[in-house]
Amino acid sequence: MIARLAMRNLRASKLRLFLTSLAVVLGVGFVVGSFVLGDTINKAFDGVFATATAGVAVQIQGEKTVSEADRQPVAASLLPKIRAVEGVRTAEGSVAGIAQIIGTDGEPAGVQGPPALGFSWSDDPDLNPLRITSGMPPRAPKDVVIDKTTANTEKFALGDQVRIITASGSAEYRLVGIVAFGEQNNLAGATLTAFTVATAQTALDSVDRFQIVSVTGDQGVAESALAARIQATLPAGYEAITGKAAAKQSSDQFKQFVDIFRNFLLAFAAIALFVGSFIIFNAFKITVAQRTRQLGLLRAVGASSGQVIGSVLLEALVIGFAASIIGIIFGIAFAALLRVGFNAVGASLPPTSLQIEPRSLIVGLIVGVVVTFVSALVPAWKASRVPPIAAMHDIQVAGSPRARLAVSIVLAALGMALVLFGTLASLSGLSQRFSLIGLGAVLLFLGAAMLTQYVARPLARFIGAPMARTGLAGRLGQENAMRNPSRTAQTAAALTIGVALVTGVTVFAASLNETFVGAVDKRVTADVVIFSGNQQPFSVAAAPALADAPELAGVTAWRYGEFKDERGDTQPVGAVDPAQFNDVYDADVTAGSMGALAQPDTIAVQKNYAADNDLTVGSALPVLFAKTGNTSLRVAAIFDDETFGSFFVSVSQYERDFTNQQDTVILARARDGVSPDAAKAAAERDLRNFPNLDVRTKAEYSDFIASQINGFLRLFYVLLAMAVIIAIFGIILTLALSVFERTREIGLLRAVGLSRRSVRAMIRWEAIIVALIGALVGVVLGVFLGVVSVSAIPEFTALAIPWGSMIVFLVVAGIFGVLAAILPARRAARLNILNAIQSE
Amino acid sequence: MYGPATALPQTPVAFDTSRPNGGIIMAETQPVATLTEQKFAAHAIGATKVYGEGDAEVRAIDGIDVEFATGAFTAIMGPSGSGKSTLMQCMAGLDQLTSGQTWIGDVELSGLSEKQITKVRRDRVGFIFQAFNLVPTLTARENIRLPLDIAGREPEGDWMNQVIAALNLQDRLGHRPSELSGGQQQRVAAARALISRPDIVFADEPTGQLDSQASGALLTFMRRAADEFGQTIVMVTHEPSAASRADRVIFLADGRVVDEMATPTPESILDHMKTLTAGPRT
Repeated sequence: MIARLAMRNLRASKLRLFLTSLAVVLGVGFVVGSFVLGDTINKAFDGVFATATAGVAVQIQGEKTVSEADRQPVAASLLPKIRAVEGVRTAEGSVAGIAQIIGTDGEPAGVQGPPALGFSWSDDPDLNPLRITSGMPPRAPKDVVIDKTTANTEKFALGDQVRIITASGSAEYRLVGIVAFGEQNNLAGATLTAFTVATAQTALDSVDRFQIVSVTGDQGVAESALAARIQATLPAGYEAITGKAAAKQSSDQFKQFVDIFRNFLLAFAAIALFVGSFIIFNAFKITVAQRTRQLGLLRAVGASSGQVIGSVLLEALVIGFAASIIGIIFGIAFAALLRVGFNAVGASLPPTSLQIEPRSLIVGLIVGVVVTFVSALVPAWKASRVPPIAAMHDIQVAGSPRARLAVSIVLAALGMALVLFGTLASLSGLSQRFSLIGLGAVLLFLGAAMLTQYVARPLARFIGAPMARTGLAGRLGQENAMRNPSRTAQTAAALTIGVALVTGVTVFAASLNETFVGAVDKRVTADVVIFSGNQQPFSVAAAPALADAPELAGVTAWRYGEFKDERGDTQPVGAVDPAQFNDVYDADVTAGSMGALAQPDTIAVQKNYAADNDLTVGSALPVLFAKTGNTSLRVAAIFDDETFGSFFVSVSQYERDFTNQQDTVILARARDGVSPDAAKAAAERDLRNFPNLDVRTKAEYSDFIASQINGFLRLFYVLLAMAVIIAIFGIILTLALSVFERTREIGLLRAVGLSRRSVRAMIRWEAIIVALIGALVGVVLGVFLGVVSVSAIPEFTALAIPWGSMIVFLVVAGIFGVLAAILPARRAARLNILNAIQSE
Repeated sequence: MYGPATALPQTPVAFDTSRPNGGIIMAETQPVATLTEQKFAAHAIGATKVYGEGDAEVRAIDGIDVEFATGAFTAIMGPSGSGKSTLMQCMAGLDQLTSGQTWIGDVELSGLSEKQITKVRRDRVGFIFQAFNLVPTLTARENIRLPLDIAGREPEGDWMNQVIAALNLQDRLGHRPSELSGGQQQRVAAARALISRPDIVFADEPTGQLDSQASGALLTFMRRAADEFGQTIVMVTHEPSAASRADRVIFLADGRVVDEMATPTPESILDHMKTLTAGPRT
């Protein structure tokens, strides 16, 4: 029965139902969409990796010692031994690396993001996922085959000369064939090239070695048995795994990235749901207040308080359930849409059906129902407090403000304490810090939302003062915003969270920018900075091309690698030319000298790492390199700078300890009397064979960093927009319900001569005040959280608070208020005066 | 659930000799034993309700002893502020006394928990309100059934049809309150009050928002409910014509019972009220 009443109440206000559900729909949609998209990408690439190793029985590779990327190659001399193992039908070595195709327009082919991949060609179809769609396979040293998508977009025809930049340098090859990857014309937007094995070995920095050796087995030989037999013949440092394990290894590696991406999206889904819960809470609270008389009647005719709670919670359950179902559908559509979007920008995902795992649906449903249910708990309890006598009198059910004040202060204080503890306490690891800060922020938001009601009235009076001066409508709007401070506060709270996060991220990004740009200004003494357009490592042949430029001096290439320290932590290390390094970069050496890196087996260590590990100039640092194993390096210098990592070695040291030699950045100074722009022009001139490299002056490099950070900031804005939109729907909902509640009053105002236009203005002013209160509190909280987050990361050396952006946020919030008021204002203005006055 | 121990009055009533017309209240002579025989559908002893404190103290009802005999239709009259609504609300278990005791049947309310009072209201009391108080989202039939549904019960036998027929609501059962006239709405409310066969129905100014025709129809039904179904009814009203349909009228002033009258007529009530206003009220 109570059930029937709950259902009827649901249907009674469609607008309320719609807006309350919307918060859940969007949140759940985001959750489900993230899961479905992640699963779909994973599944698609599972397919890719399965295709790549479809015919492979066993794969031989270097063991993983330092990192996945640092697996050592297989010596070519091992191939005959492997072929000799009983049960091996064929065994072939293959190489893979970066091969950037240069288009007919002289620009790198392909889209931003996906890599440019180069392979060695195998004639064994079991070991080669590529198949020729026209032309023939590469046979001559200068032959190449490329993927169909690139051939089509760049309008290459068989027989054309194609410039391709590989680790060995920039060279032209003859296009002899067009290939597809399995059934597809390219690989998720990556460009594909394949050469003969010998050419690939030379071009991809793999002379006399293979990245992996792939084996097919004789009929009836089990993969695992074959792998074990091959393993027995291999020297130490190599492993033989089955084709399936190889596919899994590749896809697991890939899945880590997909999972990070998915969890990133899920974090925003959580934010959207958190904001949504305020809307649901508010909607239920207002409805309970509006239904006081009805609740009193139920109690009078014998409903127990439990039954009243039950009816409200049932309503919440039904809303939660229905909205979650819609949200799930919305999420699946959202994932499908994103996939179409990926395809549209050229990063086409391998075709596979959308992966809708039961897990995605269950999580979506549970999250939606639980959030709605929990948000309705307090309003339901409040409903049960309505006494039966309320059936006869209009009474206000007063809470216990003192208790509420205490709770909100405790919440806010606890949140603040957690945030500060996370920032200031000596904790290991940023994740620990940020879990504390995140939890603290949630409590702080709750506490602040509750506390806002105590400042809402003065705030509304203050913010509304200029509006009140515009006339009666402004004054009425101001008074409406002031009259129910707890409602004003809770409506504003949803926006507060959105604005606080936007503000926090803005502070964070501005500080990151300032830290980075500041570091570049201070550290980079070079005038030109060169790296590849898609920020992949590039040929070591590029830097020597600049050596003879009369306009340039101190040309220094920079390589990156990884090693493991004594604790087993993987550390990045930069390799530089010790003689030139000081010319182009100031690492702020505090002891020893960078020049001393010229001596063999030396390393430069960042000051903090040195202090943590009791290292001084001359001490020994035990390290593990993938190529050369455990060794010990002497500390030659200690430096203060943290911008580009904590370790430096010399290039010659790097050449000894790392297999693959590629540069990641080249720095150069302009000779005296040469302007940076002239130096840049000279570098571009001498790098004309490397159109994959972007040459920037130092100033342009700073701008580039800023634009990268701004790109990230925009991404955050887009994702946070969801939370802000939900908050705006919350304002619409509250206004609409208040208008309904005030039907009689508005009718009276109209009856005594207030024009429709003034009624609309009144509602609009109220919305603007509510939005501004939310935004104002949000900016304050956001600055606090932003400052705290920046302080929590020791690498940040600058704190920037872009006040200009904050003002923009406030203005935008005001505009949102105006937009939110449109519908409720129209409703209010259209009220029939007579009916309104007579309504109860 | 309500044992006889809690049902018995614990102490004799402190009798208020200052009452204007002395001994009409039977409680003073009523032996305790007869209470358990349920001669009264409800009664109160020393019922007092005080609002506010100190200078702002208002004694809405002040030591009222009253009883409502089973099967009787009683009207409570009195000027605004005389405490008639407060008395009814306290006796119905909607509000709590400051001191004194009230009983529904043999159950004393002041000793009960909120949960137990709720159950008493649910099973033993019916209400008719001045403002109808129908649930707007439910149909007439659903509104009538509401108390049963809340209790999780089915109507006894043909009772629901009898009530609906008596109120002439057969054709309106599928309609929402907004589609009904005021008189129809109040008849739905009356049906709702009777549906669970309560020991007693309290009606608070039930004709206050009705025109004279609808008032007449409702009062006729209430009269019939008392006569034919033996339903005990207590009605608060300030309209002599409405009160004249009752078996007995109790007059309140300043929170006290000042008089009562059996088998009233509109004329006798009006006369009586004149004497009251001209009388000892100071």
